[in-house]
Amino acid sequence: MGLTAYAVCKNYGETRALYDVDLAVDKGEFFTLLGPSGCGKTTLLRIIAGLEMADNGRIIINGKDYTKVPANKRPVNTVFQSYAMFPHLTVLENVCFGLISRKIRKSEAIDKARKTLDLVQLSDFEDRKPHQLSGGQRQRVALARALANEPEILLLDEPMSALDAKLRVQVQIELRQIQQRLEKTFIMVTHDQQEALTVSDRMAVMGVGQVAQFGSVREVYDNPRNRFVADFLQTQNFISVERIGPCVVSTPYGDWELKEQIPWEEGTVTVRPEKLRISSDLSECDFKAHVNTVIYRGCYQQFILSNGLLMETETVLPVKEGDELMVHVPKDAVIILHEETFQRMDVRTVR
Amino acid sequence: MEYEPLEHAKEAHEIILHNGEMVRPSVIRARQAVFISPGMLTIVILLAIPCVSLFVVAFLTRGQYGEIQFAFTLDNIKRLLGFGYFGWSADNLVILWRSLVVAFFTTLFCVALSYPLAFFLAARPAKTRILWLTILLIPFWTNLVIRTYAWLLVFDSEMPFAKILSWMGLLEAGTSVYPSQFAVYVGMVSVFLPFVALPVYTAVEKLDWSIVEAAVDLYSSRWRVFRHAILPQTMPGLSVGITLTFIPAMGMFVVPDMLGGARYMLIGNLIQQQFGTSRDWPFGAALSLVLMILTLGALIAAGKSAKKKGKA
Repeated sequence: MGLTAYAVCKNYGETRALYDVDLAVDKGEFFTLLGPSGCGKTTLLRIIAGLEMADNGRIIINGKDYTKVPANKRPVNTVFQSYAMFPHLTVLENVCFGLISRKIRKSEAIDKARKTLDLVQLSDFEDRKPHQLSGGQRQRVALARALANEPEILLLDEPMSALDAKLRVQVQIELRQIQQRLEKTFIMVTHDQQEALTVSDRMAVMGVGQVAQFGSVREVYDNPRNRFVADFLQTQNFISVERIGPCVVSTPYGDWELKEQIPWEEGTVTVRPEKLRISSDLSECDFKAHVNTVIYRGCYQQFILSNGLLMETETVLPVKEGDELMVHVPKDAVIILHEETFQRMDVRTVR
Repeated sequence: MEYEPLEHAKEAHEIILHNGEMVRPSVIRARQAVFISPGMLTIVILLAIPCVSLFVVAFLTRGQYGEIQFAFTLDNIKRLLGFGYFGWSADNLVILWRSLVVAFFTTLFCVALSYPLAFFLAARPAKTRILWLTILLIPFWTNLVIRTYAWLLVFDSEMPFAKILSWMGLLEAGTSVYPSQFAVYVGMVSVFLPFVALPVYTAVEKLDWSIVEAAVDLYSSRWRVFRHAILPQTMPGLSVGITLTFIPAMGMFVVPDMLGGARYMLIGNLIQQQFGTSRDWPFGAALSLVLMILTLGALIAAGKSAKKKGKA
């Protein structure tokens, strides 16, 4: 249940926006489509909303086929990137809009709109016009306007891109809390990995027109399958290696033992900077390196090492540029990257 | 240097320190007059003097030979309301009402045609759009009388349009489509369409489509999408178009004269007659005054109702 999309294709003239995308979103989960700009994530969202029609494929919402149904007859609502408020209507009228379109009695619609405004803590603003609100308030009105219709699925198109960094973090948490309270299916599009990790249960990282990897946020973050996903999730250190034993690789920094079998002869592994450890024990030392640059980050530090690797410390240490460090690479910190670029979501099992 | 208001100088000949020079206030006032006078003169010559003289002449008497006699009278206003030499007649009021109706429906038809036209233009690729805009504008370069003669030709009894109408039984065989109300409306709309279509097109081009999409996403019918997503956004262009159409349409006399025939008189024709063949300037001035007041009144009323709707 929830949403299933089968083999969705979309072309704009010669350019392929979506190439056979499968997607399965469970009821009540917060699912995020994460990807760089131009990867087709917004197109996919618009196809789910019905604002655009897929060239091929099917869109199933709660077991019903909505592939050819226009946007105004679909049980989904969208929070637009620009919020798209009706400028001539008040906050309350904006929130009522969908309900009145569906010919729900006015008193009932106002009642429901007020309740939704309460949910986003904007009850005191119902008589204001959109231009009298701050960016954060407008964003919450947009959310309320969509939620008031009690959609089966709420779609969010980069809902926080217009907010400043501090407010964004706060809104992310609020959004997550609202989703958990309502137990509704939310599908969000973003290019901000931090945002995706903060709010979602599961996510799909999208490459050009295809899903590169999907899974729970933890799974994807800890085990990016390939270079594209790892790069997008900023694992930073990419190392070309050769296999010299079933679980041992030879790297430019010495031979490392890994936690699992290596499926190829030559390939790439990656290590997150925060997983590298400074060690005082020579027997634990995997390689030695000088510190070229120290980057102070407030509560932690980053070192650019003489061998080109980037590492992060948990606390601020009294390390100066030029110091020699002994670095330990924990076994389970090394991620083996696979060759293939894209992953098909097995939508049949999810259904 | 701090600015010292001129009011500090009590007498006109008193010399004050102004922006680092010692001058008389009268000199500074003279300088100011030089700079505002072109604008003032334009307004006075082109607006104030004609309006005032129109107002004055409207209450003067026509002499025996059509000259203006400086004797105050309310006869022109009475005559306008229908109290003539042979008792009361509704003719003038009918003409006034007819002018209002024609101007209103001309504007309405222009607005109704402008939206499809504006969306059609906005949807053209940039290259061909210029071509379409030129086609829309070419009639502008042609004299109004010549353009209206072109309609006479199109509506002639020997032309296909009249033949088709008579073939369908809508027109007596051998007659032309003009003079008729229909011909007047066609002429009027063709004159004024660009005045509405172009401002609306400019607004449509700048349309924020995400609001349209939001309306669709929120289960709107087509009418609701237009009413709440398109109309408010194109309102500025639309009100410019309505103003540019309604005002001249109220005073139009060329088109109704040529396409409407002698019996289909509008206030524009009546005014033109007073200043022309009838040589009755005072009555013409009174009619012009009423036309001006009516037009202003209609526009203010329209503006108020639009504001009210915008609030609702």
